[in-house]
Amino acid sequence: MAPEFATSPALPARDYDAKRLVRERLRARKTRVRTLRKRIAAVLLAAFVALWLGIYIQLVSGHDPSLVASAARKATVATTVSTRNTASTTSTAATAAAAAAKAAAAKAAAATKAAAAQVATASASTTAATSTGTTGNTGSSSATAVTTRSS
Amino acid sequence: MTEVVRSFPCLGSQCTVIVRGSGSLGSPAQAAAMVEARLLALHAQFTRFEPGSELSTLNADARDTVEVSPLMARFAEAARSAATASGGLVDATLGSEIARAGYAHHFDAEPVPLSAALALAPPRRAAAPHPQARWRALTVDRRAGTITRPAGLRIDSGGIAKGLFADVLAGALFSHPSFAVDCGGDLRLGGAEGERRPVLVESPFDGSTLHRFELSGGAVATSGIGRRSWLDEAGRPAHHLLDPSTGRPAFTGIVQVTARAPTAVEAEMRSKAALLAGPDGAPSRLHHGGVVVYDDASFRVITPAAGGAPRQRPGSGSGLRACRGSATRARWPSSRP
Repeated sequence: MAPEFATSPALPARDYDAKRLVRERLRARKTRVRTLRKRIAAVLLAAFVALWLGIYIQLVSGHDPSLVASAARKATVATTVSTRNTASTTSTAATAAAAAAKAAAAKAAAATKAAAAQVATASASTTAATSTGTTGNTGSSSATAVTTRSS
Repeated sequence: MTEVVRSFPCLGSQCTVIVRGSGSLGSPAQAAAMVEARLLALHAQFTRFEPGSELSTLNADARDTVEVSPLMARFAEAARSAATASGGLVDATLGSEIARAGYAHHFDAEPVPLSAALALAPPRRAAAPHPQARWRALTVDRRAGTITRPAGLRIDSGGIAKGLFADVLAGALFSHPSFAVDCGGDLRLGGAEGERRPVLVESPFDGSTLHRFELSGGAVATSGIGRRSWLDEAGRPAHHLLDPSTGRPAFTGIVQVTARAPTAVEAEMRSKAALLAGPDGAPSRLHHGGVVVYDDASFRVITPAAGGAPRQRPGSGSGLRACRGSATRARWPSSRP
């Protein structure tokens, strides 16, 4: 009688499949984690860039909130600005804005902010002076004095 | 930033609204127009010269307890508070007396020149409260929306109502960067930006500027005897500030007082009380500072200390930091006489 040929592998086929399955699952998980990390990094980077782009645009367009008060003070000084002077101030402000925008694209962010801040100040001052000059029943850009008397 | 100045006749004098910048009432022009419309409506509600006004209806009501609008109730409370705080000098229950004194209709005549009125005036004496203190009978029930007073007691809205109007309108303008509301001598200032605004005190003698305040908020009220003055049937000089104890126009030695205070109602109370108290009692009434103009055209600026009470000047003995000068010549400061 021929001896029974025992074909006993090192591991049963069932165990072998399980190890492979684990490896595949681990690989798949690594892939997912990597993909997620990349996506998160991309989203954060995009948000960061968008935020700074927003700030940059706001500054260049002359709407720096921190400069509103100083612009108002400057407008007080500019009470006697005539319409002609106001127009020239406007063109100066526009030129400065364009120059600042160019410089901002090339230079560092800090230098860009400073230039934009200057533009914002000039622009806000012009706005106040213009409104002062064109509104009929408007007093001076400084606070109008009130006289108190017995009634 | 645009600033709109709007002046219009109201409250028997000239009222002014100044609004800078946009706020909850819209643009400065819109806000000023709304304030004007509101003030005219308030005048129509509180005048005692129109029989259909709420005040006239209240004064004519034969009942002791009368339903009133919330603002009328607030006015009555303010009038009672003013009487309490001034010891009865600022008395809003002198409606009958002021009519008897000759002020029973809109005052649109030329006033008697102040110097002439002073020359004809009786000897000076400080005013005193009404002996019966009728203002104590004036009570308000805000929940019920009623005022209780003896029927026949006539209430005069007077300056307290002007101060109340200024305070109410200031509440509507608070979100605008800067504003000023002048309700015929009762001025309220403020704004979100806290901008300082010059307030000029005018001489009742020649219209010159006696003093200049720089204020970013609060209130200033001026009471005087120079603008609404006339000669009665007997040829005696009269005006609208009565001595409660006599029911007659008060000649105390002071012709005008400007008072500062946190609210216009308080400023009005203090200015009137100071004028009626006379030269000796006036400074102590001006806790937040002010300007007192005397019969001889001299004037005195009273500066408050940080705590609100008049500031002590070392060695002066008066308890007040005072500058005195000529109101006619508007020279200030100068040595005390």
